[in-house]
Amino acid sequence: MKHDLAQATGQSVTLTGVTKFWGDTQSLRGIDLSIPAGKFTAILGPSGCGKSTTLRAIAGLETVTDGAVWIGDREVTALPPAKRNLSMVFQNYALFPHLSVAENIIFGLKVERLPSAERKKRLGEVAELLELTPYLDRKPAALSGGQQQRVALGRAVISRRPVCLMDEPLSNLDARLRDEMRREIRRLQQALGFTMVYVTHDQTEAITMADQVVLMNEGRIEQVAAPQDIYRRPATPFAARFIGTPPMNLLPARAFVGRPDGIPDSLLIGIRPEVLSLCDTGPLAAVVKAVEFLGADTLLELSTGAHAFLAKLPGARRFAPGDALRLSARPEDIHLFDTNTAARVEDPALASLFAQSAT
Amino acid sequence: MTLSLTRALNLIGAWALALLWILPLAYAVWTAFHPAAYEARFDLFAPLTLENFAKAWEAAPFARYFLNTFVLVTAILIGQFILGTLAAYAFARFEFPGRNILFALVLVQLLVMPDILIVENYRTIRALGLIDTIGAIAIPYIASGFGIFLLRQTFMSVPKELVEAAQIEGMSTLGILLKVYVPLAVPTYLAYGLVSVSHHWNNFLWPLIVTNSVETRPVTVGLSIFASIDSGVEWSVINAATLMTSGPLLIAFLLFQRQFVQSFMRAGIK
Repeated sequence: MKHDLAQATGQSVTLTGVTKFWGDTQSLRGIDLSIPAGKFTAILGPSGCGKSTTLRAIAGLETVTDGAVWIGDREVTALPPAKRNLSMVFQNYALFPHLSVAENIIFGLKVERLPSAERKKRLGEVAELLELTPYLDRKPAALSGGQQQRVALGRAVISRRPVCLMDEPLSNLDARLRDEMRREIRRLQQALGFTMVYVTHDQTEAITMADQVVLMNEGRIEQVAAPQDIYRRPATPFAARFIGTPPMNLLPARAFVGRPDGIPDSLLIGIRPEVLSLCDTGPLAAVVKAVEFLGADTLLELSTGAHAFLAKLPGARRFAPGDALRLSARPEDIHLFDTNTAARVEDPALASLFAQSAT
Repeated sequence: MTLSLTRALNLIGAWALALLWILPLAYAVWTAFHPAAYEARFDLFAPLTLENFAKAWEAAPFARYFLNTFVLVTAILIGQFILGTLAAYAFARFEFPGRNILFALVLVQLLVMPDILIVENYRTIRALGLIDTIGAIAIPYIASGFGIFLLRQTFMSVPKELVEAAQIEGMSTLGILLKVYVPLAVPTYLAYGLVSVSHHWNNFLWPLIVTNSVETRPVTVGLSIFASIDSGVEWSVINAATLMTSGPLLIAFLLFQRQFVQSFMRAGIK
């Protein structure tokens, strides 16, 4: 689809050494981030990790204690939100209750003093694009949650700003509508070509929509990567646990039968539950604790010695608590992490030791 | 049984109070619409007349008084809205040194009876050379602590996201006040406006002191001067004049009473 609106071209966003203190507590601990122009970047993390603060620092709604924010080739660190030339969708939509849908959408255009004919033309396009045409005269209170969401999107895209920020825009919708809006937002971003910065705590949203995922934890960036890469090669134990459902198992070397000698305690071996398979000579000898039948798969809670872990196996076979199993994984599915540095260890030879069948 | 007794007592009490309250008004209406002969004589079939109104209207320059009062309450209301809005915005959404002390001072103003300040206000007004002008009646009331307080509370209940959304859309600080805060506070403005208008329409003591000519007197003062003419007390004419002067306010109140009560209820809930 080719729309007039697609005239907007994205601009990159860059943060260098951004820190933010709230009194004595530090909510951003030196954020260096580069968000490419025209791409969909999702900032992902658990609540309180600083993702919203990062977004608000880009928007200019929070001042930063230290560091710089750039939009395109312009430093905007000290500029108020109005001067940053971006748009934003808020978690609760922030629609003006005293204005009609049409007035809400063209709010920014009026501020820019765009001629009324141009406003009308753009309003028509956006309303068409978001299927809001029948509702233009209504007040936001008379709309459903999904429609309100669309109005907020309309207000964000109509001004053709190069950067659009979204702060958990789907968290107030029910599951079915969320799926629908996810696709719609993605479609909109690709059709119009602006730079999207999208904050979410939902890994599904981040992974399905984004070109680039920024994973944050405790005010730091854990990893910046494409969704596939963050799943295949998590950079930190946190990233390994946060991405993927159920989360990756992180086990010490001790948990493996016939483990090689001389492995430091600080090494963690990461194996996703879905890559484990039954193998009579597998290096993981475990006892079934609980069984959860999921239809296509069966989720097993297992324990080996003092260590509990999960395995997702094809559903055909039946298991009962108390069964003893041996499991293994392919060498390329083994991830190694050093807990001292909280970093990934790239050592295929070492990894293969934990995949090999033990005697 | 006891419940219905309580209910009956409540009903009787309410009716008694209502009757007591309406009695002077009822008397005023009775005398105003009947010839002077029926001032102290109740006769259901007494002839109705509008003569008293005509007499009162001609006996004193009520048209001018009405104009004065209208100008006065409008000027006060506009002044209060402008000052109150700006001050409330500052107190509600800006951090500045001394904010809390200043707001405390505004609240203290609520505790001071305006009548205490009459002498001091008179001196100030005389120093300004404004004695016997409508401005002189209005000025002491334009900075209203109650108005600032009420609007501040309303502004503080405006969701922060709305303001942020307007900021992102490029709106200036003043624009946000006019396009976001003020429209959302319309019920408060309405309620406050009614209180202010009725209060200043009825205000008597200060205008009495500060005015002494037909060109500036509001209806309240005009009425009192009209009522104290030495040439005998003609109740029917005085009451006709009284009804005339309080009529507009009474009608406005009856028209707006629902919104009036509602907006104060809402202001209380927030």
